[in-house]
Amino acid sequence: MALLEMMDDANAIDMSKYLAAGLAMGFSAIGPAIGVGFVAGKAVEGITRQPAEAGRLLRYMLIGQVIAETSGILGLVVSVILIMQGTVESWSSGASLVGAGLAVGFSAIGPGLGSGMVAGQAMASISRTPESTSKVTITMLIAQALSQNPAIFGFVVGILLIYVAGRDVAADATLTIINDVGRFLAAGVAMGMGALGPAIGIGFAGGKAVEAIGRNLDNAGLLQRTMFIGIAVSESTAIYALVVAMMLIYMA
Amino acid sequence: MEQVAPYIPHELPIDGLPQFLRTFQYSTVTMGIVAAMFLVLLFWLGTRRLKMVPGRGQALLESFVVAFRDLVYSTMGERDGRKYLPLIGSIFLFVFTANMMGLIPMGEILGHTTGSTMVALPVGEHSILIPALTEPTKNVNSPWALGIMVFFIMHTAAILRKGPARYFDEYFTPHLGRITWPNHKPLMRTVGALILALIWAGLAGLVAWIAGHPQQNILIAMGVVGGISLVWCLVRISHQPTKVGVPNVFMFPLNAIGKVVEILSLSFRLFGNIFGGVIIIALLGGMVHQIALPIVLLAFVGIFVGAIQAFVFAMLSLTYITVEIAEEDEVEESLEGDLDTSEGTGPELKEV
Repeated sequence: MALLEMMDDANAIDMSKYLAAGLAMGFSAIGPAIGVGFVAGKAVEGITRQPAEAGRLLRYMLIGQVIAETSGILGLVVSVILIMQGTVESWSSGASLVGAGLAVGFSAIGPGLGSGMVAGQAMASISRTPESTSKVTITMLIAQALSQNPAIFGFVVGILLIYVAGRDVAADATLTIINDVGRFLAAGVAMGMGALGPAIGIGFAGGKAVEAIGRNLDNAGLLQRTMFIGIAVSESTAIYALVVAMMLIYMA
Repeated sequence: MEQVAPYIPHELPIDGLPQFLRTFQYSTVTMGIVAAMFLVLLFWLGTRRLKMVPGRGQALLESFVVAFRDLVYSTMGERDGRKYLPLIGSIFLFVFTANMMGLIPMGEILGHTTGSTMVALPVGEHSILIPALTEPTKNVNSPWALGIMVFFIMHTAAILRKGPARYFDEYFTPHLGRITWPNHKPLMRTVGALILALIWAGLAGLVAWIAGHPQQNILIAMGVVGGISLVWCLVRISHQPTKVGVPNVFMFPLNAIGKVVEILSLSFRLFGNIFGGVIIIALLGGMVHQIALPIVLLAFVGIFVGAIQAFVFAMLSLTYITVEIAEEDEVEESLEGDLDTSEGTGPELKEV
């Protein structure tokens, strides 16, 4: 009974946006933080191995860290958007906001870890063979950017959930509302959890490619191509998650 | 002095255009044009009097062009690189300039002094509105426009380079296997023809379904297209037998979505980063009324992130184009070459 009474209370509905903002920021802080720390650790390791390259390692460490932090920035953007939302009208729009928070928050964990892994291996590579720096850096940038793709899918789904879903829903039919709540939460979970693995996988592929280019600079083109194909395949599960999330949002 | 509320145009005065094509964001469009004009002016002034021993300005522009040329050539080879260097370089320069445009806090200054973020420049009876400098890339539409441009360029280039047949064949990879086609064994021939007919019928049905036809019409379209392609595949024997991959129908939706999604993520990456930077600066700048912190933030979020994201955008466009126009068979054939030798195509060639 208490739940039903609470469901009629407008203030109770309004809490959903704050819950969503907390989910988005809290979870999206995990991955990038670990990733950024991993890069810094590898850079320190590299400087002990090759003190002459300290300046270069520091420069590329900062570049790698900036990209690894992208998913955290996306989480921040969405949580600020969520806090700035007006009064939440119905339970279905409240659920769409929580879904957005889940999608953005969880989908940021993997990309932070993955791109941190790539940048960390790049630091190791640069310190081992400084003459491979330009090739390694470009491969690192590409692999990191591709590892961010799942987070960007999560961001897209989050924005769609905030601005498109839950806006034109009839407020009276109880069954529709329960359906909508399920749909929007499921879309958030599908995209958020679906983005976790692929991004770490892409990070593995990119990290190993960067390491391999440091060892075998002559075959950099072949290694880059193989990495690209491997990344495209390992990204496919994130694309499945995106498709399912879109279907959940648009198919009533 | 009378105050006239400034009219901000946001709709093209053209009848017959759909609504979503008519509306536009005034400051984004203006700032995009300003960025482009700035680059045109810079490079026009910089390359007006070229000398063998370059002056300071020419040396700066030259070092940029040379650095980018080396990058593009090393990625896609000199023959293609020569063709795509202007595109990739322009994308980088435009995105970089666009990301840097928010660094001058002109909007805040104007807002404090005049109360409006636009300046009205009177020209005769009318007045031209000049918005304050902002990043055009913080609006989602300009990254989209760039992404769509890259999408069309890379797919047109791929179709022109490989031909439509090989281009569309890539949507059905990885192949289910390799067969000799046209094959002179009756069973193989029938099975192959059936598979191809099914693919074409499925595609026809898909097109009819998307176009919104009723079920009856979809079935008719599938039947007609499937029948014609079945007859054609069974009859066609004049070709030299070649090894072809068996198209993997199940991979088609995934590959097709993948092509769209890579452009989607390209655009949203730029938008998310720049918009995030704008939000971070606005939030912390509003919280802390100091001078030092906002400047550090502007330097980090604005210059550093903006430059890196512009470079990432250009590099990813370059990589996508390179992968799309590359002849993928090189890798596949070198992998399968050892296996194929045992089969032997000699007897089949004799029958022709």
